[in-house]
Amino acid sequence: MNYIDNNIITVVTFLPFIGGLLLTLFPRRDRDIRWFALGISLVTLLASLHLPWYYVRGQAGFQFEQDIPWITHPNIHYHLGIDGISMWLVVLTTFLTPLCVLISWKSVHDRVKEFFILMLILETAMIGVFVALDLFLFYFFWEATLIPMALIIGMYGHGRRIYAAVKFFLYTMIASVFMLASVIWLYAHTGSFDFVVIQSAIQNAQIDGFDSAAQWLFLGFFVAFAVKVPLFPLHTWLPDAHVEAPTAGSVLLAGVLLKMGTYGLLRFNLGLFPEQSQRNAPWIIVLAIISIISGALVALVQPNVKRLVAYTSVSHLGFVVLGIFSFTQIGIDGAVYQMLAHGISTGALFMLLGMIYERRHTYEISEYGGIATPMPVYATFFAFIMLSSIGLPLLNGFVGEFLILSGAFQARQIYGILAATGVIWSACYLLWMYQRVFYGQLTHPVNNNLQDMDARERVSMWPLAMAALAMGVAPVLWLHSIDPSVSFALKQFSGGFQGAVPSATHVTQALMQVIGR
Amino acid sequence: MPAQLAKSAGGLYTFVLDKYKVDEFYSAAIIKPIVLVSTNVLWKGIDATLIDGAVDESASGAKDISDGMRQMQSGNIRSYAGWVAFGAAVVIAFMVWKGVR
Repeated sequence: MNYIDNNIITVVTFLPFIGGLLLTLFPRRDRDIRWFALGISLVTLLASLHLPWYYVRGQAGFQFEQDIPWITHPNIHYHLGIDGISMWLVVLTTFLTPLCVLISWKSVHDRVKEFFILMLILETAMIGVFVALDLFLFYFFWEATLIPMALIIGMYGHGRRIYAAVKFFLYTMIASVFMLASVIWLYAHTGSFDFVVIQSAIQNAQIDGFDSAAQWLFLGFFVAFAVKVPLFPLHTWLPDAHVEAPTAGSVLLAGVLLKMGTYGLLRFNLGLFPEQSQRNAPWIIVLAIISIISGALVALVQPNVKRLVAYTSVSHLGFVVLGIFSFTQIGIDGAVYQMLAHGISTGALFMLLGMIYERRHTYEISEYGGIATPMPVYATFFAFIMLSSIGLPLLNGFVGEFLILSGAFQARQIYGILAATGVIWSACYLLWMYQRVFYGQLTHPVNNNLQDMDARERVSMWPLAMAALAMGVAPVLWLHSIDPSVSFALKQFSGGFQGAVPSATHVTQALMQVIGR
Repeated sequence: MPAQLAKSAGGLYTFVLDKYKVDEFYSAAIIKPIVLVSTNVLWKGIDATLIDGAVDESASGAKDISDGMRQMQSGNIRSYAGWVAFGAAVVIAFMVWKGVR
């Protein structure tokens, strides 16, 4: 058992990569390649379930740790580990990848081998971001996600794919250089890239010149993560990347890559720079609220349905940032929960949009209308997922938003009030879109012959719908392990609000009341 | 009977029939302004023109500068010699200036 515990993260992280390497040796028989990619991603999912299964709840610090000196000079360690926050993000990644393989089954028919190799390499990089505890390793995985994603957009995307891929690549690359500068400064002054070592050095004030540099270090990390989230006004790469990306690319982009930004804010900005986080919180929260409201309003008027869903991500991720910078237990719990919920619902929305695109090759809302008649199953799945994204009680989006808003109200009432309008907006843009796409008369005769979802598509949607329901009905299953890690992360915040932080039982109680038990 | 009632009430009848024009009022006072502002200011104004304009402009600016710099590397050996001479002159001028002070 111990042997498995010590190596499980390495196995989960590199299984897809090894799968990708093996795929390069495959003959170009598309069918075999697809089945193999599906198999390897399912094995990875199974392996990753070891983590929540054997995770010890309530234990502070990181678990399943693995710390091996990798390069002696500079002092780089192969240091992996997870806590309750990153564990679920890893599982989210391994959960979405097989579904992405399924959804690309038919839509990718050119260069199939390269596509699945890129996807598996991307999975390794994404998991690596969440488990790396060495800043160098983290930066390595962080940049490593860019290349396969940019290639997936640029090679398999739609019309303006090259523009979108280059924009995505440069936007994120330029911003992460600032993070690299901060990382190198920290290494130069501590002689270590290790997150735990640097964190304790900062807490014990053992770094020379830290006080004067801290603000810049904070900003260096912040810019890199803010682009990834994306936070207004650094969000304009996102709609382009989403609209041009193939379906699986959009799912992973919205489902996982955006979470890397919010995860980074939580782990590194709050973890390493608690004082600066608090000092900078007001303007960051303002940006988050602008993201929520402006993202929602822009989503409202999009004529392109995929661009609409892309903008909803800006709005929803604004909620996550707000929750993180409320510095309340309940708010950060909600932020982590919202990350998972958004990964499920928005991932599912993009998959559904991909299905309709395969049939009609357009995302324009005006090309649809009344398609609930030829596609009743599709319309039902769409309604279910849409409601989970809006935040209907008993579905996953509600729990995250509710907790975040509670945290925001605790931090400052006006934050909560302004952010709460975002909930209303989300109902506006999604319901309006649903009405225009699914209800009314069939205005385009071609839509009469639309095929409803086939077996493969249903198989790919059921897990997401079930996950949305499970996360809405029994959030405690997830919050049990998220909550202690969040409270551990919050411990280092000195001062007034510590006393006002509600405990895990408060959170559970509040949720129980809402759910009506 | 209803027809008679409708006739006698006149304008009031059509007003009630149109649900007191609440929908029209709502559409004109709330929905239209929101859609207009979202489309023209938030989306096309801020996102597309202001932010993306700056992003694209910085990209094309870098390209333009590189296009200018490219002219230096013409493949013409004589012009290279000219650049070397120019560079040497700059270095000498700098050293003289440094040395004098």
